[in-house]
Amino acid sequence: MTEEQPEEVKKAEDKGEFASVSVDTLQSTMESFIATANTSAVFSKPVQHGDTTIITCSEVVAVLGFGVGEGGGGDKESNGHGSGGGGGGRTFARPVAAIVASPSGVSIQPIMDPAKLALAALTTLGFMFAMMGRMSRGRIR
Amino acid sequence: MPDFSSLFITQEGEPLKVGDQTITVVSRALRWMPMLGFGGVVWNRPVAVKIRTASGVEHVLPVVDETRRRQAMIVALGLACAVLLSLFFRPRRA
Repeated sequence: MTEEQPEEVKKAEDKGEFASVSVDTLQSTMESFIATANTSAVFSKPVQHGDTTIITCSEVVAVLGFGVGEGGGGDKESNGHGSGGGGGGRTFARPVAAIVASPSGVSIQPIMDPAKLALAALTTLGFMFAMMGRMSRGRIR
Repeated sequence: MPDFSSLFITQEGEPLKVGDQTITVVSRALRWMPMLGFGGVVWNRPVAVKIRTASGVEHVLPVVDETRRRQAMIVALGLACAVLLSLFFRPRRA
């Protein structure tokens, strides 16, 4: 065994550790992502207040993406080789309703988001004004 | 025709006892992972609540998303107004 080989073995071991950490991170991220599809992501734990129990309901959207690549080339003197990877994601959640359970009965109270309604109204108004503007320009011609 | 039913997962939570009633929550998730584990989309929302009384009668209460319903109403109203305006502003022949 020459002096160069232990260094190469060390590099290979380091590379192996790095690869296993990357795979573990990827696996745990994917597990968290898939867990978003469970009921527990949408319904909260029940909150007791006296003899009334409240459970909040939310809508959850999760988007995730990964990519890996490698390449090589070059001439006979220099064999270039490289690899890389990346990923990104986002989770959106908003409250939808609250389930109120008491000995007298169960009711579902909707939760409204006035900001989203205002945004929808403004977007629709903007679309309508833009359309009116285009149509009035068409008439002038 | 492609089968889209496999994209949707309907799940029930753990039954919860409140008084003499048992409540079970139901959610439905759209899970789309086209790239063999290299990403995807999960859209999960509450659907209904199943209530079972002590006498064994079970009924289901739907969870209505009021915000989404009103957003759809606003957009539908806007589109209807846009169609009416286009009819009103239609260029007329001299």
